[in-house]
Amino acid sequence: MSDPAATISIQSVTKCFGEITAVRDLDLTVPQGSLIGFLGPNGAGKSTTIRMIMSIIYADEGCIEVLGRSALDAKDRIGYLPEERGLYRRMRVRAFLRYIGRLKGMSRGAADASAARWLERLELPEALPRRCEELSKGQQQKIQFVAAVLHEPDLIVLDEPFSGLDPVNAALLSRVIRELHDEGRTIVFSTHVLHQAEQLCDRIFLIDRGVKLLDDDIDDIRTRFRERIINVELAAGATLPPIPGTRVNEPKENGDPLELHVDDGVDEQSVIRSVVEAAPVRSVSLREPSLDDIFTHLVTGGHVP
Amino acid sequence: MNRLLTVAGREFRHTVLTKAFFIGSVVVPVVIVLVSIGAEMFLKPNIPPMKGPLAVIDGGPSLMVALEENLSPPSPKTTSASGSQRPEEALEAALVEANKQAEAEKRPDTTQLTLETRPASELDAIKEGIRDGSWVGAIEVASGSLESKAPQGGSAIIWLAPEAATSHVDLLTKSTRQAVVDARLRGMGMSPEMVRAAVDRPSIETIRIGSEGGEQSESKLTRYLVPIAFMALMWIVTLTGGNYLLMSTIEEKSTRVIEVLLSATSPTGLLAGKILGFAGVSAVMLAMYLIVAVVMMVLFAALDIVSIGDVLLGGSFFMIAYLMMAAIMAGIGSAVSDITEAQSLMGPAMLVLMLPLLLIPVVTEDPNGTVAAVASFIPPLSPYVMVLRIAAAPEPLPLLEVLLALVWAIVCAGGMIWAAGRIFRVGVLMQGKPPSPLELLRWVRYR
Repeated sequence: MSDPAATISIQSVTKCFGEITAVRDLDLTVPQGSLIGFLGPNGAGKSTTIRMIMSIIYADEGCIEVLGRSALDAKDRIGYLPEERGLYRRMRVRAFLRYIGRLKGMSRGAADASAARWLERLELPEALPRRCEELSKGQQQKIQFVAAVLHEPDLIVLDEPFSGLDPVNAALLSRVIRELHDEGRTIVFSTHVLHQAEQLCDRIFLIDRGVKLLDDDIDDIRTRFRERIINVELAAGATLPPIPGTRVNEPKENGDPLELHVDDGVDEQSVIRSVVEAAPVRSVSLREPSLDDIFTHLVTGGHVP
Repeated sequence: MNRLLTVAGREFRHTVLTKAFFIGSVVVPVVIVLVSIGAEMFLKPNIPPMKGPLAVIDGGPSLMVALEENLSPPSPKTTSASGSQRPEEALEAALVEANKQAEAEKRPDTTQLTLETRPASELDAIKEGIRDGSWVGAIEVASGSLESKAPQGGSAIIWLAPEAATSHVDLLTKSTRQAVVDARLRGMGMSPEMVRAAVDRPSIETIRIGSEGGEQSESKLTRYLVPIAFMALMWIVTLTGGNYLLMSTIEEKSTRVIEVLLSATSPTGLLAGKILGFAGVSAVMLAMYLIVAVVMMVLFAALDIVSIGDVLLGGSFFMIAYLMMAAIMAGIGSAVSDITEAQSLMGPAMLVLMLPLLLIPVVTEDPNGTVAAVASFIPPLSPYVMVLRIAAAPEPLPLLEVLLALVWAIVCAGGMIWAAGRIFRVGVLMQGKPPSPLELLRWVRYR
């Protein structure tokens, strides 16, 4: 049974292309109002899954519900920015956005008004009368983003939304995504840039070779993957005597902190107190695993604790 | 439905409301018509009159009379259409009369031309006169050419100035040839007018006796010209419409805009919208040509050539032909990534699509023959062949056969559109190497 509060519910979905299984027995639930990062290496099955969510292609097995029904029936309430992006080169931006708006069930006037409002919000109002081919790649990307959100959808699916954007525009888009999330919209975005997912998302979904590796809140993931490592930066010239219940990893490079691996059954807080008492230190911290660490760990053969 | 109309509307507007379409489908035909009319009205060839004396060397009285007759301007004749003429006969007669009129307009004015007989001894002096313009020219008929059994038909020489107009040369050549023949006939005691009247070939009317007692008159116009013209028009328009669909699909695929569209509508909906949009484009093109055809038929009072039933059947088969063409083009367009790849698949497709044209002689010659009957049930030939058969058949095709062919063609068109939709759904998201025909078949079976 699908969760009635879920915006997306994927149950036991498998999709094959000939001999290749792109997605295998996949389950996923995206709660309403969440901002979920959809991660995975190239060829993991992200785009295939997203295309199935969008009813662009269909699952061989399993069931997908979006907004409580098939995505085909819910297309007017979904905004989609595909990885393979494009515009009609000779078409003017206004006409293109109006066309997409009309396809999404908007009236001509509403589509025009929304297009103008969104271009203003993305600091690109001057693009409206221009032909798509006259815009830079970054500007075209903004137009494509507007096409995805023009009709004020409840669910927004963004496949690699930051690719091709300079840092300023990436920050702008990041802010807009957060604002959309704050408005209560459910957002799913796939990315290779993990620190962006880390900054934006409240939930992570990781697949590799069509199989789910991880599906959890970002804080819970960090807790589960905490490595019980304490980073110690000593004062100049100081040395750290052996601390009971720990192993020391020497710094790989000059200036890197010492890594104390805490043995099982030993309290981290007592180790920190022992370090501070044993030597003059500049800083002592519990190391939080980054998403990069977790991603690499899982994709290169690690297991979920 | 709204999405379908939105897609169709975009495809229609972005094709028809473009300079390329306007120039290709509206301006060019209009310009051709205007240029034809303008050339007819304002660019008539400036044919100089033949003015001055024309020497006939050693011209005897019979030759002189014959030349006078042949070189004098023709008396105007008026032909009136008989009230009993059928529309196609009236159209044919009008075309023949127009041809005669055009010929007459190319004839130089000879009202100021005078014929003078001169002895052969003056020929050199006359040649000098031709050079300085005091003589128009000279005609020297070889001795014996006026005899009833002239060796090898006789011969003659026409002397003219180097700047003599081609129309003058033509007129003198034809007139001299005819004058020699006329002189011979008179020498034999016969009237050239009577001989000409006697050898004038009769017009033959073919009337086919219908199997159920009726009679059906036949003219070349209805037997060949109208069917071929309509089928060729249908072929051109459906191919052009299909080609627009192909190019549009390739553009959306190569610019990657296709996935954006598929996020808003289903692949089937998108394809249906595109097919509908380009059906409108094809209809506009067809209408452009049909308006010209109807105007021509009204002008020649030949509107009765085509019956309402034929028009309805022709329209139905046109739609079916377009759907089949659209299915082929959509399949190809979605399977390839660019126009170069499309050409490799278009080659085999064009071989099939050319077949209706290759069958024209066979079908018009025997619209009820085995080849025509079998081809009427083979997609995508069937709609073209049926139109050809309906128009060319001397008596109406059996209603049951027409209905069977129509229903079968609709079923086939539906099947082709369904298969194209399956290929489209898979193909539009594929990039890289174009598929083989076997792979295309596999795509049809994909879920």
